[in-house]
Amino acid sequence: MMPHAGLAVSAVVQALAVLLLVMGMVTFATLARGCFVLRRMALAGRHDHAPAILKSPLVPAVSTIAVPPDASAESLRATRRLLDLAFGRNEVVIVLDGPSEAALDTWSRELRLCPSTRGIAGPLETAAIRGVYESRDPIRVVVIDKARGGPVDAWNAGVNAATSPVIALLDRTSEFQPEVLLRLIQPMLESVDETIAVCGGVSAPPAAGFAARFGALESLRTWLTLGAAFAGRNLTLPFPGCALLARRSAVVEAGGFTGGALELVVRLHALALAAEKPYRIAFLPTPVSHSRTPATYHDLRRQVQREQREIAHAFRNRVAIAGPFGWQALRGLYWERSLRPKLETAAYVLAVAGLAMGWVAGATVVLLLLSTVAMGMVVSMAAVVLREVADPSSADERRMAALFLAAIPENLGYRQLRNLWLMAGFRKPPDSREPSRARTAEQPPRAASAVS
Amino acid sequence: MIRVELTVAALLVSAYFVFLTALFWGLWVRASRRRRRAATVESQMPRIREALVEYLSGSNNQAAIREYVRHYRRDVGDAILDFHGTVGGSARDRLCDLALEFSLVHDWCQDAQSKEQAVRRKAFARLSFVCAYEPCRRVAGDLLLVALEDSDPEVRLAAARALVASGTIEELGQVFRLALSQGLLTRVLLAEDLRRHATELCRTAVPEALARDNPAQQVAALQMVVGWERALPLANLHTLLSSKHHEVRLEALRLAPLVPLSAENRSAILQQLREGDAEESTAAALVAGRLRLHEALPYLARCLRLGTAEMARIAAAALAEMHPKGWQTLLEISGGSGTSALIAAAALERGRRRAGV
Repeated sequence: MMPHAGLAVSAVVQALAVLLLVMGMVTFATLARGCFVLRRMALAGRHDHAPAILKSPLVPAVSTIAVPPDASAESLRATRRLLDLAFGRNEVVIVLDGPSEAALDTWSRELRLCPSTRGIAGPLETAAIRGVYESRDPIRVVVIDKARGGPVDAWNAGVNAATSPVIALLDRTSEFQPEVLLRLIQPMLESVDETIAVCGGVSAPPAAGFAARFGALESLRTWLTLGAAFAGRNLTLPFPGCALLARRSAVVEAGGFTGGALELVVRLHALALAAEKPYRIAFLPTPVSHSRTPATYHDLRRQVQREQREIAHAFRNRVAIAGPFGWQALRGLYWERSLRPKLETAAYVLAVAGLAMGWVAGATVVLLLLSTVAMGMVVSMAAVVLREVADPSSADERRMAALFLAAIPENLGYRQLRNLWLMAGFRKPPDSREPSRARTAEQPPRAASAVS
Repeated sequence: MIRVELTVAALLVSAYFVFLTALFWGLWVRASRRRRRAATVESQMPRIREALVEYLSGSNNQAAIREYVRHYRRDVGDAILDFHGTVGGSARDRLCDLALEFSLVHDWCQDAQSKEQAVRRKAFARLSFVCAYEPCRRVAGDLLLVALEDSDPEVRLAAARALVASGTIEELGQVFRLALSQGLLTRVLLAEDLRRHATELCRTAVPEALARDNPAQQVAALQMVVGWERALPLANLHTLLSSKHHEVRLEALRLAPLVPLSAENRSAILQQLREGDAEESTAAALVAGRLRLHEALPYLARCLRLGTAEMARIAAAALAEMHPKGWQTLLEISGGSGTSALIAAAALERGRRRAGV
């Protein structure tokens, strides 16, 4: 019995090692594709016409929607950043989801609010609107006080309240430039009818410390994959720290929000493909926005798990949000973010147990380490050099070397720990502060049938 | 079996490592070179600019500039372009003359024929600055007109801008027609440049474009004219206000406050207010408020009572502009109940505050 079990364990570890090696090679190929796309974009070039766009009355107005979770100093500061955006006609829509009297009072004092006669009767179903306020100051801000319905409900209330043809979604945890809207609107102006959304931004910059460098590598790989590589096939998906512009009519047609930005964009792709009309969700690789570089391992874990939860939810509801296209759009993410960590962890456990029992040969363990640790280093190093190959104008050799060499310690310990984080993140129910996705599972949005 | 797998995996991973390390080394060397070159340019650029400023302020000593042109020809071109938007008139002519004298303009004309998109773009961006000066324009010759057909939109844009800076009215018309055939971004950018020629264009090119039976072109032409944000001598807007195409009617309504208010225009605006869909009535209410059309009072009151929240707000704002009858209407409506009453009261209060009552 024992030799058979030993042979089986050894064969499983070998098979897993080969599979993981192939998955690593596929990831490398995806990064290389992202590099080609970025290179093509860099050669085509894109002038910055921000000053002319700022002045022109022909540029469509934008409504920037924000759903602050509370009235804390951080939320107030994040909202102030939205009010400071440089854009000709930017209206900031702040949706307060069931705020307490004290919170409403804080917002009222901060923005000098007064009741507005503006009616909010949009096409998306939301919890009851309790009040609409505008500022006494000469700033274009609308504050919606609504009954608690969860963040997704609040985002939909924001879409209802938006009067502009374009809506902007800026993650309050990311770093964005004041001219972000001026840059993001440019691809929309280039082809008004075809462009339904724009995802813009770059990966997080590296900083001192291993946590920051591992975070920067993580962000770089995701950016090259979801942004650049997917843009080559017009399948751009939002990446962490990106700023998103979307046509309001397209969002309404998609039935509004069902989860985070990822679900929205997957759904926009699906509906556009189902309509069989030419469309584009543009990727803008300019430094207008990026996620914050984590300073500690705690921050890093929080970031990784937050992204993972959003991917997990989108994956679970892929049929409801996007029909058959859901699998097409999310399978790569599923393999990389869910399947690979599980297979890798299982292979490690089996290899260690097999080694202890004398069932697994040393050569098999070396093969496994080559497929995981060494291939992980290859993938991270490739992300660093391919990024520089794609756009040499931004080259800084010291920064590049720091990231290139960080790929070595990243795969010796952190990678294995991250696998556990990813597995936990994929199972964990959504955080109550993040968009509640209950509606998707129980009640698919109106237009779901259009794509199934 | 495991030996074979291990060997293949080791070879593969080693190949990846060798490839990436070689690439990394190459990039390191290239980045170091770039950094050194950037540092040199950064140290020279202020001196080049200083020499150019000295020349622009009247000095005829060209020795220093000549020396810079000999060693940093490309950077002198960049430094000249940096003055774009900061100098005009005789100073600009003097700068262009300098570019001509050192054959920089000839270089750019040569680059403009390059097969490389980036080189062509840069050349046309520079030419668009210097072609405002007639001798430079003569050197560029037909290059600019030919570039209007270039496959790269940025090149077309730069050529169009150069023509706007130096061209005849026929060439301006050509640029206007180009703008109509391109995307909104090109219109946004060229509207700014063509604004100072708006009156001349309204004599021929604009009426021609508006008279064509092509709704897309009509909308584009109207967008350009609205983008100029100037009062314009444009006749026959009423035909567009009554067009059978919704988009054309909407754009025409946006333009209405900028053209003379003829009886036909007035009647077409009132018709839109009365019979248009929600979007058109809202736009017409906005126009009625801006032009203070007192005949629109009953229709505005109806929009306020029965329209969407957005339309009601705009109608109320328009009524608030029409003292005393508009205020009286608002007062009557605010005496009722519901959202209309609230909107009317708010608009009346704003109107009174603005009038200091």
